[in-house]
Amino acid sequence: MGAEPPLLEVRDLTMQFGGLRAVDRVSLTARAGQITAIIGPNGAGKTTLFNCLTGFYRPTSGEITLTHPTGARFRLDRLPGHQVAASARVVRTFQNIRLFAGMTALENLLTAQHNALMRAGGGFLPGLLGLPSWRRAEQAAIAASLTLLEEVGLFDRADTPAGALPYGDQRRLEIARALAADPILLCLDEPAAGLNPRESDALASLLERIRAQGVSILLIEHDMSVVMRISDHIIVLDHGTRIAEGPPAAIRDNRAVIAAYLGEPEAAA
Amino acid sequence: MRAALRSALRAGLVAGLVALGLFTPLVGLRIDQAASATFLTWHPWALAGLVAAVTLARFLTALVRIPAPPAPPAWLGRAASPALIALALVFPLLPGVARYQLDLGVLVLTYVMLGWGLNIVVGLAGLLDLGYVAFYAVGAYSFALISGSLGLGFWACLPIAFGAAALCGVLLGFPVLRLRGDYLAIVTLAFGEIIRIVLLNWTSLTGGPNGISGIPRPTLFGLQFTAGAGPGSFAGYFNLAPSALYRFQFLYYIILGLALLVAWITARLRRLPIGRAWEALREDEIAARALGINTTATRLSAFALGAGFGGLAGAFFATRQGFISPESFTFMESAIVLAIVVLGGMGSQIGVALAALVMIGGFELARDFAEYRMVVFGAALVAIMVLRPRGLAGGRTPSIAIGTAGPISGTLVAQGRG
Repeated sequence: MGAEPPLLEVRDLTMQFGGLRAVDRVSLTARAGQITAIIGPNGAGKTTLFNCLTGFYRPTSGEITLTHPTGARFRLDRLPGHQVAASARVVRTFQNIRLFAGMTALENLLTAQHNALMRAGGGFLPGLLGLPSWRRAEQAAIAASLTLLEEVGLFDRADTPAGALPYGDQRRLEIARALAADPILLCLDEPAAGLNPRESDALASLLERIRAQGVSILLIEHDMSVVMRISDHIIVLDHGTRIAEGPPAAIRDNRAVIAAYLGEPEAAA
Repeated sequence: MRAALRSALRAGLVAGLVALGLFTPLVGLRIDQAASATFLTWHPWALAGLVAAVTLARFLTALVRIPAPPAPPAWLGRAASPALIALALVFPLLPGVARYQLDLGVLVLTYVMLGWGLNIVVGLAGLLDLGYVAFYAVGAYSFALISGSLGLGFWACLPIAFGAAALCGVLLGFPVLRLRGDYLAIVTLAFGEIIRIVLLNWTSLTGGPNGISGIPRPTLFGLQFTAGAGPGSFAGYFNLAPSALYRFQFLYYIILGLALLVAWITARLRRLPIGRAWEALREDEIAARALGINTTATRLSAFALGAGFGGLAGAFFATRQGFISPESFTFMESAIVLAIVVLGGMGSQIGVALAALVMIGGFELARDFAEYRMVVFGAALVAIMVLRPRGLAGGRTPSIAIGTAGPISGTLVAQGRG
């Protein structure tokens, strides 16, 4: 385990909103090729931590370092917002689904390939004139999108507007769209929320397939059946601080975690 | 049933009160001029009739649910664009098309082009711009000033007008990067007024309220369009009978060509990453940023391109009129162009073209109603928006489809928060 380089290293991260310290000196690492889960009761600071990681908040203090397999290092707490996805290749989904509702499933995935398509297409003019170099790039992007749609079981819905898809399909389309942006680290904010048990089960299998393809996953989730089944490493937050971390088996029996979830008096914990 | 009746009654009464407030100064009190003096006369019956009509109309629309008109058949949607383009191409050659009709055609096409330019900013990128006329003015003035000082012709100045307006678009874009919705609308509105007031007061450069005259006419590869058939004129070169009509036909084809160029570029851009990024910005800016789209550059490019197209229209306006002054670039123009975009169905090119035809052409047709022209015209606009709240072409056509994808219902498509 120790030989693998940490993909993501968060050190002493603090996020303060006025008098509220939503994330308090949290340190954590996520390793390449693993599914790292962040769990905790409501209001524990999970989504705030995500927003710091993906450039939506500037943390009050602390460091977030991402190291690519190539050795390239990125300070996520300093990158301009869109660069987190564009160069550091950290792509996220949202707790409340944020698809481009008026665009078709295929268009959603093509939009996610914005930067890749700009580079491959040779810039503005070849695209405008429809030169062969652009057409090849476009065909490749469409093929990649269809492969992703097939993977999440939405191939037949390529031409359906995203907003007209059923809820479970929208969840999977959002994951496919994040994958289309070619992430090294995929950050999923409660992907199983609102899914029935059968759908959650399918989601867990999908996440395992994504991991097998070499995409590391950082997962916020409340559905413990999903978390315990697929996670390699679990980090538990409560009131903005890290109270435990370890493999699923250790977390299941951790007394501090049980106390945080069941609300035992602190003296007993 | 009783509850529905009561709420309809209330809606009718509220509308009636608003109408009373509006029509009392507009219709109820009228200034009549006699030979020696001016009288303020009171017209209670006209006022009562109008208020009653509004109350009744609102009562009925609230009571009876107006069914949405059936969607036009698919073949109509496919055939509409080629048919309209073909009609536009042969229009000047049709029998009975004289100078008046040609002038009207040029006017309609100018607004079609402005509508298509603003459509990029408002319809695709979802950024509400109330000062679009500023770019129209910048295009017109940059052409007039540069052709006057450097002696360049219309065609050489077109790219300059485009560039100057696009630069102004970026200049406007930077300060409003963080603004959304109403705030963006207010700043763009102010920008439009600032440009107009600068043009009005920078007398040494722009001539102030006197404007600029003697702007060169466009030529066809150096051939002039003069009334006679002298050497170097279009009629003289081709041994045609001299006619003043040639010049208007030529102008018509220039603006048609420019408008079609704008339409073609926009249609292509919708399939390119930049066009998808504009629409993604309209649909969900936060999601777009999370996918690595540079939202700053995307916003600025929408402003710049929309402005550039407005600048082209402005240069054409200047060369057609031969004279420009700040009076031509009031807020009213921005409002008309925005109305065309909204009426057409935001984002839809064919919708914008139809809306320009209805707004500008319809306004001319309503000339027969004399002083009630505005009332008739306004009522027609209200009727269209009641029947088709998302505009004439209410849906969004997908930019790409594997199979056959129909238009996407307007209720799913975001309209942009800023």
